[in-house]
Amino acid sequence: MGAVTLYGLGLTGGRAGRRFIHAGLLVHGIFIVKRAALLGRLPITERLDILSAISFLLIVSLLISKRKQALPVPALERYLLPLSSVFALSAVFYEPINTISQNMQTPWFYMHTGFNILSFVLLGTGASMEALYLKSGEEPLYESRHRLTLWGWTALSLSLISGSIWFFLAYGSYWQWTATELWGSLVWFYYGIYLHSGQVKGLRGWPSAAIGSFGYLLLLFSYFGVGALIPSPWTQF
Amino acid sequence: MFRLLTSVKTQIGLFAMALVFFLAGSLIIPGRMEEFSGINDALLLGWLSEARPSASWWIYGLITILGVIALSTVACILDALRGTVSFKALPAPIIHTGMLFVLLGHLLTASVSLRLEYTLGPGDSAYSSGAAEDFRVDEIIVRPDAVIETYREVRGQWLKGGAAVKPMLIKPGAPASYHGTWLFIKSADLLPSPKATLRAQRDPGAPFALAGGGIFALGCILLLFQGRAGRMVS
Repeated sequence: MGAVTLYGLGLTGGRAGRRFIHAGLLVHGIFIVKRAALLGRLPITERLDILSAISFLLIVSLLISKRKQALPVPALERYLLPLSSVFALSAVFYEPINTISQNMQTPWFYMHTGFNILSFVLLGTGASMEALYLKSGEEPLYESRHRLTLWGWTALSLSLISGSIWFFLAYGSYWQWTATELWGSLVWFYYGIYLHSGQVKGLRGWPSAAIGSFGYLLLLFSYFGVGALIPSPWTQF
Repeated sequence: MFRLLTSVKTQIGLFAMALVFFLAGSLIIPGRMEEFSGINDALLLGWLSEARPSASWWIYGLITILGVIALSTVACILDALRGTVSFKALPAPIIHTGMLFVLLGHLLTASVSLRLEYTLGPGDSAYSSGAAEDFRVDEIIVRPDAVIETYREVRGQWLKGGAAVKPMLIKPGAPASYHGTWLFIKSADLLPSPKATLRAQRDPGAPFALAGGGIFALGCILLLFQGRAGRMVS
């Protein structure tokens, strides 16, 4: 909560805002390190830790984007700070789980969740740049957000591939007919449309950016909505 | 026809149609849990032959669309190979080939995979008359664990003509495999008597899907290294 408050204060902008963001990142980083020390492993196996990691890395991504971007992008905070706070606040609703299932103790599971976290961060940063591009029309933003989305889609693909391998080794199946899997595929195909749309003359520019930013809403729904709004019972054997 | 199949607009249209079927499925399954309860344990094509069309229509739609996407993918690969092969043009056909392998894997899994289930104690053997490899359970270990709550392990031997040929060790998340037969632990308990429920499985589609995933990942990584975001498709 302390980190979220500091991220919120970061919206004030300027040098003070930047200090608040750095302080929030420090508090958040300490929380993650403490969780890792308690668990004795990388804390990316349970929802609370996954959401916390996404939130933390979105802020890291914000700072890197600001440094790498050729043009000043003060407005990026207006998208990424609230987005990061949403992830951090939603983590509060989950109980900390300090044990791990035996079938999760495999590098494939860590790769699956690791790439999943990375895809949320990269696609989230890309979507924020898309929203900015739609508002400002700055051409360098268009190129950056496309590159970020491509990286994010690759991370999403690697997450699906490693997740399929893990699920096969754990439960003997690399595909399940559940709403969760169908939504995972839906989001992946949607981003496939987005990446192909860059090749179609009429879809370049703002239509492509709009398609990309809507994709992130689908990704968020697949994570928070499926299960809560669309029942998808966990099936193993 | 070839031009139509390799068109980016065709790909976008096909992907959009696939989205509609994925969405329909995600809404239909939760409303008909009983009808779909056995779909993940059965061969898909066998399940479809017994399912009511009102529940399964979207799977037929999805299979059709994925079939056309596979055709279009083959056309894209051929189209890419027709031109001058350069490093810059390499990722797209590699990614498409990976996708093709994944689709082939799914087709094989849906049509010819095999699953058998056994509940065995120490000393019990499982024979399947050639459907899968035979095996014997020697030891079932179940003990409390601070990190994973309960540690489970099954030890035994793979059998050939009744004789032991290879040691077998199965843990949750770490199945044993021998000559294409995979063995998974479904459950293992010591009380009232030591018993383990194991699944023996043959899935000729899994290696294709795995290879497809690897090829796909390779194509993606090449694409990223090139740094040419716009050259995704043929």
